[in-house]
Amino acid sequence: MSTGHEKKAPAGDGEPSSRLEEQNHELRGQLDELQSRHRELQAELVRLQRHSTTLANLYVASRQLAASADRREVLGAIQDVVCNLIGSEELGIYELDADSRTLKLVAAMGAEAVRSPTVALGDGEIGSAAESGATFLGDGDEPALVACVPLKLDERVIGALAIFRLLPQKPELEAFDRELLELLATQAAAALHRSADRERSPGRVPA
Amino acid sequence: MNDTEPRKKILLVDDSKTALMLERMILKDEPYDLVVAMDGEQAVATALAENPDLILMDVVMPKMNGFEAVERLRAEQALQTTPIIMVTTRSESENVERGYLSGCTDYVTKPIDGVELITKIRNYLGG
Repeated sequence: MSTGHEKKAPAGDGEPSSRLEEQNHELRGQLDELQSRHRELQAELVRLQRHSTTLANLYVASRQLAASADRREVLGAIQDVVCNLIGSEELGIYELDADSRTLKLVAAMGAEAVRSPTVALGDGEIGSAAESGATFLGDGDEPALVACVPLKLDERVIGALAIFRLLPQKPELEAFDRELLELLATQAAAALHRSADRERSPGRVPA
Repeated sequence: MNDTEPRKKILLVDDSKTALMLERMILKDEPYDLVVAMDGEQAVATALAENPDLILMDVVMPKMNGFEAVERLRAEQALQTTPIIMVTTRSESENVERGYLSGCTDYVTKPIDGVELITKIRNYLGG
């Protein structure tokens, strides 16, 4: 009975070894291709996992802000999101007093924000970002202000989120951080507005 | 993982709802069961009751911080070899050293990098 493993008789002088070398060469080529494809797929997997983490960050931030009912919770959720998802413990949340055209600090982490409890609209980077409605992103190695995001309700600025410093292990804001900041610009503003509405009419059930 | 093997269990400890939700999201497609505690004291009680295969431990928490909780866990016979990954906000060497001295096995820093976290957990648990 054949086991299928018997050695075949050589077909002619020199032929088997050259055929084997040819096959060997071919197989090595295939192996190289497979290894290269494997590396490509691994890189793609890491890219997809990073993308998935970015989406998870956006989802979590959105959920946390939406789930916060009162003003204290909303301010806490904004700080929690910036601390845990962006990576900063030096931040200030300002609300705009439209009458006096002044941004007033309503919550802060770290010492930096406390130095500027009020900022006039148009004054400095924070005041300018709030006045123009455009996000400010600091550049250079150690900017005095990493980012300032105007908090907008239907394009109307109602406050600003200033990030003064990132955690030591985080050298700079990355593309997905900027996506998160854009989300905060609208969702944090909406959450603050909802909480203010609730405080004004505590018995009313939100639509 | 073999279908007949029981699923591994991870205890997530953090006082931040944001951090816990993110960790859950990152691990939702992984073959692990997750249990949660929101401060150091609760972490010790939950770890003793649930006997997790791995613990992901925040540092700054009310009631009992992460370092103290790890020391308490390491004093328990059943949890002496359980991998404990510390989740630190600050990566300065003294903070990391304090974590290792308290008995943690490894650490990750906030903001959590999902790829790094999954890689480390798989290294300890497989899957």
